[in-house]
Amino acid sequence: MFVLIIATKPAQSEGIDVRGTVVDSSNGERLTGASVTIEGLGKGALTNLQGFYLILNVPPGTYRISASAVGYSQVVRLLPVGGQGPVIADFVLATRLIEVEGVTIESVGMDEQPERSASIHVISPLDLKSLPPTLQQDVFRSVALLPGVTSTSDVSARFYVRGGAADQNLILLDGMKLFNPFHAFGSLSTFDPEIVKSVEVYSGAFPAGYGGRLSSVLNVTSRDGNRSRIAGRAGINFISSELALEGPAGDDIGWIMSVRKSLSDKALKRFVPHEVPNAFHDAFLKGTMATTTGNIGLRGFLSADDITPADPQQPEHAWRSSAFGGSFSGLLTDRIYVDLLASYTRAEVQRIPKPATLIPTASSKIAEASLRAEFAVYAEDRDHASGGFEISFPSYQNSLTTRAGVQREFRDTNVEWWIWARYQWWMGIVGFDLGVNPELTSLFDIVLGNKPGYFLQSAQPRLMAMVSFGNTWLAKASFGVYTQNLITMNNEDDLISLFDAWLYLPLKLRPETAYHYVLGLEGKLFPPLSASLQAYIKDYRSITLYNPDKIFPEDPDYISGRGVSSGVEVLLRYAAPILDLYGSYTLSRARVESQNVPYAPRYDRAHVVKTMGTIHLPLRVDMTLRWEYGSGYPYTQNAGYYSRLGLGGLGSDPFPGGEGTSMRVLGPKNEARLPAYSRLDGSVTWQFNIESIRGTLGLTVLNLSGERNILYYDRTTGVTDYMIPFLPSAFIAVEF
Amino acid sequence: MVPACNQTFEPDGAYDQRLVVYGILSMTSDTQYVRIMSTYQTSPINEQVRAVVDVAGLAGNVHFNDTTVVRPDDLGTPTSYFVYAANGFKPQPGWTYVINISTPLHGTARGSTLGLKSPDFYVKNPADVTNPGRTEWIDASASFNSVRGAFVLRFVVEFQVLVGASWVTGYIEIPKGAVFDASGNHIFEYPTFGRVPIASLNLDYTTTEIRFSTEQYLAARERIASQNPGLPVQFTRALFTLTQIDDALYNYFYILNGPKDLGTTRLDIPDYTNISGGLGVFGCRYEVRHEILLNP
Repeated sequence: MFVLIIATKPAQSEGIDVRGTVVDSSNGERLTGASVTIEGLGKGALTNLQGFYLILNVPPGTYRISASAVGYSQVVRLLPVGGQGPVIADFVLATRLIEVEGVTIESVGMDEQPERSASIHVISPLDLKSLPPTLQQDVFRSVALLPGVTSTSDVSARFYVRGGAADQNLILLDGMKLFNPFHAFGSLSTFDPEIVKSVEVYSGAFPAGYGGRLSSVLNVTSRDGNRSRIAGRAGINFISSELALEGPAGDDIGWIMSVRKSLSDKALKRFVPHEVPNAFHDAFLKGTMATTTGNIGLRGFLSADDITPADPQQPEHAWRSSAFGGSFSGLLTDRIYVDLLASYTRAEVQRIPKPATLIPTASSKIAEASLRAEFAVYAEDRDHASGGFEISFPSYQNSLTTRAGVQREFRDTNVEWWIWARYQWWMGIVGFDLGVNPELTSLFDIVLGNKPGYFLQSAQPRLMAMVSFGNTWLAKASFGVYTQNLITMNNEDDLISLFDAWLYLPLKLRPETAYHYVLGLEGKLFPPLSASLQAYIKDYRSITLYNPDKIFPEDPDYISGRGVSSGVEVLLRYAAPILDLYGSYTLSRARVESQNVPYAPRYDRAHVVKTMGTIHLPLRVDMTLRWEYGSGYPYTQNAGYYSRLGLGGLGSDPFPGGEGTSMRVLGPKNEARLPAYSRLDGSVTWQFNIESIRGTLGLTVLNLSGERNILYYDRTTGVTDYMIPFLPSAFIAVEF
Repeated sequence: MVPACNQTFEPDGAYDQRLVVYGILSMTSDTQYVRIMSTYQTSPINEQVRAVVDVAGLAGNVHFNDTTVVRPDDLGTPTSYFVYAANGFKPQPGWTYVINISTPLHGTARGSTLGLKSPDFYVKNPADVTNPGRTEWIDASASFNSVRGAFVLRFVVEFQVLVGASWVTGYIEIPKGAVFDASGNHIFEYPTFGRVPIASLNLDYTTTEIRFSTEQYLAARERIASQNPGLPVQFTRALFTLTQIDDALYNYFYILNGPKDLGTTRLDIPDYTNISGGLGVFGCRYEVRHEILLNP
């Protein structure tokens, strides 16, 4: 309704619309975030995710119109504007090569789009490739470089954003929700970086249009495929082999596919302290038909992991994950752009015990079918209105054996119906972004008294104000309310969770709720050096925690607790042609309160320093060093033991005899801190050409200084395991 | 501030030296016992924990003195234990009792319990206990004047076997039921504590019905006979014992015997104490017995 009101607003001035697409000359891919400007008029627009732009009400005449994008050469052309209908102006941009004393650089600079959110980072494919890989390139490992994002170990790519739990991150692949996008105990993501067009990370106060998770959004967009020619890439490293192919199918259709398969778990065993054979594979296929204003696409994604320990006592585990979707994007009317997506996603994990063991079987399945529609209304100047809805049907089925030895099966299907509206506009140097993102079924439950809650958490306002000054600087303040009903019931204290079971919150519990407050300042100190300073508070008004006082069946398993995390992040980026430096510092604090007992969650890390430097040398050789330092994570110390006496059935003699059972006494929860984490990685890559084939040869050394970072301590045996040791590896990839 | 890089990992923190208190006030006895232990770092401390133990009630403080008693250990072997005991101390129903323990080396601890009021019960069909087989069930009705905690009614049969020239007395508890395990052996289910029913209409007492299977009763009697082939056996008394415990003891007992939540998704093991500043449990119990003489 909000969108329609905006859409039906009469145009304030007469003129002719100019619209078109911006395309990469090398592969025919449409470019997102390219800037198209009509010189002399002060009018312009950015291309959307489908590479489409629209400039409204251009007076008749002939103009110089330019298109530019980060890493591409600018194109300027003369455009006559006249007649009745819209004028179409498509652009083809060529990759910009920079030559500095014999060094050739494809592109520099991280593609930040600060106006879209208070806390957004955009990672491009070039950024992904510029990072020293942890055995192999990985999207989540790249995300981990961002300030505010932490991981509790080298083993796990599960990430925690600004003091939020791992299940509070919304992970999207082309708009399809993924529930378990990890390989190999979580040490790698299931996305092949080769298919990635961009990765958007909203680390806080994310705008309307995203819901259902409390902490962050990781939005991975895949490429549409090369529309110019058949191209491919094949690579091999110590863990896996990969093959990615892409090409045209007719004039308007592009396709891309990727398959990866693990080769050997020998390198992987260096990650995991015990011998746990793991095999994985994944596949992605996407076809996209370009239309004049958008595209129609189909995509599918599969991944599988199998853990098959040789130990006859250890159970096997199998993970399966898949997602399928169909989309349509394009102009619905002259001023309304629509993105439609129908998708189905599914994740499953099974524990398969060996014969003759007493370990019970267990399985967890979650599936979600959803339909999402987003409408964007083009308006004058920099005004932008959008809105949409999403209806989804999450269903889960968990089968497990409880501590009491009882086989239990939990299954449920729910409906989540989100609607949202968002309006962005500028008044001089001040910009605003206001939106709401209510979840209707939860709202109805609250109104009908079925579920405790408040109106504000149902409406979920998302607000941002910006002030632009000094040409490149932006000061921002934002606020947002977020809820989550679908949670995992794994224990956050687990080091490596082999069994994540999702479940919907019981009706009697309030939805998990967080209020985000973010202040930000960002801009360029001088041309190659950009800076960002952010301060945030995440006020967890309601989070679901284990009920520490549960004794009897009638006692609830879970209770609603509270929490708060806060922090300051500083990010510096020096992006010059031959030298690329990145550094960030995060000071943060997270606390959770259960039954009035506050404690630091497992993933609370006070100080984090992340640095990376890449130097581009002659002969297309790049050298990169990456260092990460993090102060210790909290843990609970042993504080002694006591004898828990049996009471003899409380029979005729009530006096408790015997010595009882020895029970461990733990100190205050998570009050101690592990030693600080430190890891220095280095890599050298050489890009070579053999006729039309481009190749990359790389040598990577993880943990150059051989730091012994604690991975795990077994309280029972007293054995301490450590994370990745000094670990050299190599990779080679060829592209044609 | 940023921690130093040479931090060491210390899995063991400061030893939390706390008192571990086990005290169960018996509402029907005038001798009460409290066992005081302490937490330990590596191995159990068998030494006596020297303490001043007082239980304060409306009638004033009762001081507990250290002594040694013999009780069966976890394997049933009689063993001497160092305890604190008070003679001539019979707790009163409805009174609050606060235990205070102070020690020179292990700090202090405190706990409280509310004296239970007397429960009662009767067997509705005693004739079916003396002459079983006429009805399917042996029914009892229990009433509780303290509507809290948990209770169990146990049914034990006293019997005598003539061994040589002497009658040897034995006891057998009547199970609630029995199932067969995978090997075809009987697994008997005995009565265990269950919550005292909630009172209706805001009454300060509540009643409930309990029944024992006549089939199990007869089967138990047959087992005794079959275990003593060729020997004369006579069943002398049926002993019914109703035990009520307060909430603290029930919480502790329930955890001790393994949570049996059929619906939980939880995989952790809970713990429980009502001792402030320490561990263990302090509670009270009330026991009522009735017997029915059987026809030898």
